[in-house]
Amino acid sequence: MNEAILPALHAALTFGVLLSAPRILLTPRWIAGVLWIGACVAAAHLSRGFEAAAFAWAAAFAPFLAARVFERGILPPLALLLNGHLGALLVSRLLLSLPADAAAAARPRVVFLALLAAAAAVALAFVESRPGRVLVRLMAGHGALSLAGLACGNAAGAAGALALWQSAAVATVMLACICAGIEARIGRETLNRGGFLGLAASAPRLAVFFALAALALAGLPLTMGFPAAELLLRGLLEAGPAGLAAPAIGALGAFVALRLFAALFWGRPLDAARGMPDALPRERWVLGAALLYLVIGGLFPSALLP
Amino acid sequence: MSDGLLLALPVVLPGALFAAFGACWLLDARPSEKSAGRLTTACWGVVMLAVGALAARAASGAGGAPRAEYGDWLTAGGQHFTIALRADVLSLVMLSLSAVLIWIVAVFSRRYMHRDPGFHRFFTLLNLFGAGTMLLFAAESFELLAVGWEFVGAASVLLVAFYQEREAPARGALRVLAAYRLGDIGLFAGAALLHHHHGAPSGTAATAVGGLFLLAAMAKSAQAPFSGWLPRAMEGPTPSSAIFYGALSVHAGAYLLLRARPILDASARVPEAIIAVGALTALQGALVGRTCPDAKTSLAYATVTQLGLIFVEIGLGFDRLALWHIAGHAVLRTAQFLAAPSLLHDHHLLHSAAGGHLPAAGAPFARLIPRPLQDWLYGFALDLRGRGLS
Repeated sequence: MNEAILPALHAALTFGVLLSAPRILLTPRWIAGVLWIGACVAAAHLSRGFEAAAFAWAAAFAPFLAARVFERGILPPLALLLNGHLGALLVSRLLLSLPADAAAAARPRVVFLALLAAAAAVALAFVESRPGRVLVRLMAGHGALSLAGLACGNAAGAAGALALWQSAAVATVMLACICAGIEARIGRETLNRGGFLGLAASAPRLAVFFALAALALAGLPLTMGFPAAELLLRGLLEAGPAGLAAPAIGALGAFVALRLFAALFWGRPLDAARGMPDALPRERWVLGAALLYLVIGGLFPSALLP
Repeated sequence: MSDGLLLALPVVLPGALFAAFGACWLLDARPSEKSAGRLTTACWGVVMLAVGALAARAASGAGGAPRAEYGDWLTAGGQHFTIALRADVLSLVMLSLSAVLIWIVAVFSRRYMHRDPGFHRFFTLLNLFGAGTMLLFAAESFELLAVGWEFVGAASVLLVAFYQEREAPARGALRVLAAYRLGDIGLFAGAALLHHHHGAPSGTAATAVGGLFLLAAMAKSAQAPFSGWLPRAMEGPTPSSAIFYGALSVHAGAYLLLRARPILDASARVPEAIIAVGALTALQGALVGRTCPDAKTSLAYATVTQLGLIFVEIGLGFDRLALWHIAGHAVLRTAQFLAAPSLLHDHHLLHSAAGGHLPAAGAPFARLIPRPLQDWLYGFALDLRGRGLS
């Protein structure tokens, strides 16, 4: 009886805590945050078999629930917190700790669910227009793709997932930082008004940093996103034909990221944005360092991967 | 000079210039217009010499087509990604064509873009495009081809939105981006599937890879139903329209199919699909092109028509003819695009020289079609264009 009830309890606890995560993160209740992470870790270690898939599902979808949080909170630290990769790591740890036959049975389901979650995330990003919400959906999509790579059970998939983890985390944090910088300059209401904002006229360097981060997220060669996409695709295809969905998910995600760039920086400049300062030196150094990491990862991927 | 150096120069030199221009811009140390223009034309002059030397070496017949391997770029997760370039006949034709046409466009643009606020951006992106094109045409593997393909796509989208302060170019660029990303699905999935089958798929796998490559080629070469992006890409500066949508970028899809010939031969129904797509596109381009009121859009549809015919030739297996067609079409279309801004002037000169108005092109063939059918076809084509379907 214990064997049946314990995993069910943990799964229920995980779902419950994940559902309440946005409220926890909105308020400075750090104890609740630590409890949330602790509950996830405990559930990951204790559940077996089908619960692995259920947990993967929950973990992959967790950042969906955080869209409102992301929109209201301070973007850069939230981008680090809600990147969706923590769940992927927990699931992969869980799969490693499972008995071989249980893990083999769980892997295809986890991969399928993760790909489904990634497709849903980028589809939701496609219909969003507000930058914060678009970013959090994209993070969810990349987190779910990382999960698919980690769960597919081969070295190429795991290496691809780790590369994607690094590149997506750095690129999305860059994007979040730039959005936060723009928000500080022109206000949230203007940022979220929709349509073309035409900010490139007054902030061309921010535009270039944003474009390069979006292209890295899209998997442009010479950035870390490219080896990540290549390895992930090879690993997923090795695991089964469902992997063929990954390029389509990646393509839609890339389109959404670049459409966000176009919406922010192209078009007739807004009156509210005229005279807006371009990237300040302190911003340039931070963004430049992040960009350098992405480019070094793209030029010498073997140095950063197992 | 070794084959390795000769093959690497056309990729590395423009790539380095792109990186240098980009870094200078970020550091607020832009070179003058004169320096940027001269550096770019000199770079492409050197590239032409390198490609010429490769052609001479290939023609001498000693040791077969020049080829060079530069080691593994990526070794992780039990996977290897080897960088290897080669210059067989197909590559050499495209490399020569690219080097000459990009050099011509660079020379032309020094005057055409003079005092344009985006002068440096244009030359930076032209070098990115050039490096991507040379890599695309010299790559030995489909994975490396995809790298060049991506650079060409990125430069293309950014140049369509060159006049970014207007909304029409921005919307046009997004349309191009959407079509390119759709094509990328085909190329990346096809290349990965090919790798999964150790480079020699057969049966259903060959058909799947061929079909995916066809999807990529259709999107890149503006074949129906994706041809709608090409006229919208004309929002960019004329020299970029010439080199991207008249000469090189649009032929990348046809090149991909020519490069994938062994896979197409092993696949069932893919060559027939290529013929059908090409024929449909040619017909559509010819019809819709007649409804266009401006020179560049008319040229875009003329390009679509010729690309459709090239696809038909590839589907029928006439690879040599398709290659000649690509070369001839690229050169002619570049000249037409570059002359487009002075078209009215040239038109008046031509008519004056002829001593009166010349008859409209195609009039004898138009008489073969009954007038009501002509009107209906015109309305149909106009409707297609108006709905953004073509």
